[in-house]
Amino acid sequence: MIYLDNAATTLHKPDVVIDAVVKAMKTQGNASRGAHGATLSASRVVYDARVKIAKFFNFDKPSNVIFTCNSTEALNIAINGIIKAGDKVVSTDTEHNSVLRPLYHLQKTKNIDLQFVKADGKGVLSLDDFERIVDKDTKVVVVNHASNLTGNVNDIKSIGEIAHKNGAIFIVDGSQSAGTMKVDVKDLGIDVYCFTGHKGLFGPQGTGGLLVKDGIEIDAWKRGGSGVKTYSEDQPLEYPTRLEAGTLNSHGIAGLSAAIDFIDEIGVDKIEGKEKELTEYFYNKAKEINGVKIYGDFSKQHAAIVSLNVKDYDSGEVSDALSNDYGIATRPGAHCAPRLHIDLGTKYQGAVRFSFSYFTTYEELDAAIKALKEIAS
Amino acid sequence: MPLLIIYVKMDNSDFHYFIIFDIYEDAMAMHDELDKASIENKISPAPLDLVEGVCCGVSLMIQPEDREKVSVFLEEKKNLKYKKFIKAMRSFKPKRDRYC
Repeated sequence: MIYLDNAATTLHKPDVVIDAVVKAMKTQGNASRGAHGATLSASRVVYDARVKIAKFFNFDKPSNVIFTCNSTEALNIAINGIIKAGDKVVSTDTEHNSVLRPLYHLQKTKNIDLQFVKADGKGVLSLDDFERIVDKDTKVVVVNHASNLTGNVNDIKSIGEIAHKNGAIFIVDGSQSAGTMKVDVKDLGIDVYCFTGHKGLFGPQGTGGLLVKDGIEIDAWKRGGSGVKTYSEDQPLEYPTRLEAGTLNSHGIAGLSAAIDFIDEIGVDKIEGKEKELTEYFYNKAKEINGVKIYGDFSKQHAAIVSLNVKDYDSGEVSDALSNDYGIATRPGAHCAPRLHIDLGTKYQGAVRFSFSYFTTYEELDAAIKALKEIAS
Repeated sequence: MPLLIIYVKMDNSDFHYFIIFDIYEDAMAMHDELDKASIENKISPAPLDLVEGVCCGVSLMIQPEDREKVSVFLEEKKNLKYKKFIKAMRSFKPKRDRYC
């Protein structure tokens, strides 16, 4: 199989990640639960992972690295734990349902004032629109770093500046950026960065987290065993314990930790560079095929994603043909990004998303281009 | 009849000093920094009887002779969080936290 669905999850995991998970499953007890060798082994792995992740994103407080099972969970924790009844919240049409649905829910249950920045025909957001919509009443701005549909990378630093000059908290969905491009949360002015472990970071599914800037208060979202302050009736207030009741996925976290080592060894700049070359190679060949329409703005920084349609064919039919006739895995349909599909005019056709990783080869891209030509002919 | 109190000392037991924490992450951070400073410290169960259970389950056990050195260290390292630095009778097992 030629796997070109890396924006959904990276299928090819480094051996060191797999080995780390296996080792963890054989040696680790329950992290933060006692002081015997097995629990300390787990506690050490979890703590080291927090330190590595903090360093990886240039974040200076490892104890504010909160582990979750994916970025959807991280975003839900941040959105539901910060936004209060009646708050004004600004988000964008380019968001995934992991942002949209929690916000819609708060709109229905807490009557929040929810406003969206629209995308243009290429899925691009305008900073002028942010300037116009974000004001002193805005409590939170929530934006993705890179669209999971078009691959467009948003100008996070500028959007953060607009949020902060209005006193708003800036939450960033890093699902498509973590591991695939350099993310410096301090330089970008991000208050809460939500990430998943199983995509660009090459970690196991069931891992992810959020980085919470010092001073940002997020309400506990679950309560229970923490291994600390047992006689307190309340969930401890200290991060990360405030947001991590129950046994952690320390086996997965061991894999994620090894994955960070793997990326550090290669260098995230090198990974980004290779993925950029692969994306440009595919884009330049695909756009020359008669009947192929590509979505997104490829003149700026871009994630390793190319979404397209062939003539007026249903995207599911095209993806199915790619899978069954050519052994190529892609993602059709709506990609959990309903507002952006509406803006792009693809609500009823969807789009076929090709997404690449550091392990993708040019031979695989050539095979995909050949298949597209045949389907379009 | 006078009450006779017999004090039985456990093997290797003696007064030691303990750094107590709110959460594990603070303990692990302190453990790393003490190691870097070559100050012997062992991760051990927190002496719950002395902290009324309102801490995390582990503490860092310090040798009595290092008490002063650790006090100075804690004073200097303001970025490291801990709850208390206390004295208690426990045994200092040299094989503690050898996995960590």
